Amino acid sequence: MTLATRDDATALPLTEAKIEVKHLNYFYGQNQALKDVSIDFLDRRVTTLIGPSGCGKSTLLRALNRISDSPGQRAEGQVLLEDQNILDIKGDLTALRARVGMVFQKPTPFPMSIYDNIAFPIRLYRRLPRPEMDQEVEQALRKAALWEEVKDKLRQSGLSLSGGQQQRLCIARAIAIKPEVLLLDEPASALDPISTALIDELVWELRQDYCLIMVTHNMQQAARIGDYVGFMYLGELVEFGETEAMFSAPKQKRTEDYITGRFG
Amino acid sequence: MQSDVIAEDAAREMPASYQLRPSLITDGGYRLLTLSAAILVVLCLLGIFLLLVVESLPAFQRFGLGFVTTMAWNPVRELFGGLAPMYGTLVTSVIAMLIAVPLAFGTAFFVNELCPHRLRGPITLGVELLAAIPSIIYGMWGLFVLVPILALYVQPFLIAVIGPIPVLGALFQGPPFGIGMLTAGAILGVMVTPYIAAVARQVIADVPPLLREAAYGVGATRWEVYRYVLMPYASKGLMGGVMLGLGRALGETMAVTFVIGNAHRISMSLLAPATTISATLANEFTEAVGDLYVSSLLGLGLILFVITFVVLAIARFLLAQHSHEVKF
Repeated sequence: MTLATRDDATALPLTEAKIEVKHLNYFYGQNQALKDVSIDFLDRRVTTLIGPSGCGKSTLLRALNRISDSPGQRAEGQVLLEDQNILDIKGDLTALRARVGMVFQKPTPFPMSIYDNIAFPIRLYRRLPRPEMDQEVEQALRKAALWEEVKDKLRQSGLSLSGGQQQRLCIARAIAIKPEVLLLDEPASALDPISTALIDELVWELRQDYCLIMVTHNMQQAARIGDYVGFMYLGELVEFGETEAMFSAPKQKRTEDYITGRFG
Repeated sequence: MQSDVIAEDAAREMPASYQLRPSLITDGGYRLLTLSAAILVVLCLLGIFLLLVVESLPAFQRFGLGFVTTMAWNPVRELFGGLAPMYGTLVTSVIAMLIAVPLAFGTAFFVNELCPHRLRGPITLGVELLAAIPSIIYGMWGLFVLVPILALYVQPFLIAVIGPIPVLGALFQGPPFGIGMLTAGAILGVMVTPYIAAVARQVIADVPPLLREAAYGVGATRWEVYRYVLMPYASKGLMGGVMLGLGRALGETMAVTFVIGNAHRISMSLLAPATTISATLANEFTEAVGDLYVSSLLGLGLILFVITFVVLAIARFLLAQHSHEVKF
């Protein structure tokens, strides 16, 4: 199934798959968290992953930049980031993480100033003279729709911001290093409705430039901002397709039960 | 109505043995017992402090501020100034911290971040067992093992290499005795490492896993995560641990007495023999003749008590702040 060919509904140009997951099995010790999952994530689109707790959607997301790499975990299959199987990378994962950024359930500002929260990851990759760094920081904060709120207090601690602002700071931090893919693990689950709306808007804006993949528990959120949606259940990808089609006419009974709130 | 009947039935059927027997220790009595234990401990602290103040009063009255600013220590002419032991206490503790802090932080980071799970328990246990070694053993180990090694190999090397450097070289002058402030500081460093490491390990482990993942998630290496994210996040707790170790180093007696040389003088060179407050007290109390001598020794004790108390209070304060800040 090539999704790009079915893409005529939206005004955005056709895009290619940024990440192709092929027959991915994922184990935590004896426990199999993902069962033969195959899915394509398109560039410059928002793909949401929904499903009840424990269905494997976070595991899938975390496999995409190998953030939870610890002994006892094992993956089979392929995760192709532009034809490179990231499961094959041995040792240094920093290059992968530069290409695949991540935003977590709860805001995770680093214990440093607002400015340094953005500048720290940039410095990990490039040495920039001060004026250029200032520019990069401003650009990232503007993209995350946070600049106007923090431009007068860049020297204050990132921890002094409100929860919603902290989360936008984390998004700014993630895009400051210009990744190709941005993973969002329930980015609004700890936020109030107004902050959630701001994050949604932001995600919608960001899809101009990035391949966005978002895990969410919130069905409205998935319906609102996802171009594509994947429904997962018990480690399997049950159904995957365009958001509108899936929410109006799901093909699988289990998908319908879930999105109409009959279980989960 | 019906429930009343059931209750009455139940009361009638309840066997006599279910009634509470009078306890030997009532709640009120128990409270009194524990309260008096707590008060006794606090009274001990106050009593020791008061005794030190009262007994050292003659020395302070006689020498005034000179007691802490002069270094004459002449029992024959009854001239006592505490500057030399204070200096020795401070310098050995600083050396100890310079050795213990990197060791302890390194251990904590290794155990938390890099160590395979199977090794975690044994390493932690091993480090903590360092604290179980009696300090007299450290003293003997220092005198019989560390002193010859330092005198034969390390100190000649330091004198030859760093000695000629201006300013810094002044710290490494004189003959390589083996005994002296450097040796005492080194032993203290090993002794306080487990205390700092235990606290550091805990406060680093307290850092929310999400923050750690976020830092790795922007592509930071392990060292960068540790240096720029974990350490600043846990800074108050880490400082608390260092202060705890410092408090121990300041007051440690036996091990230091073995290897410091017990000389009442102030030398720039770290290789020179010196003394600390606690070493002075341990050495001289039994042979102190005359009220002024005893009073002066107790005066030193009071100074040490106050310094250690303040350092430990700072440690407590910082650790309390740390536990307030760790959230998510």
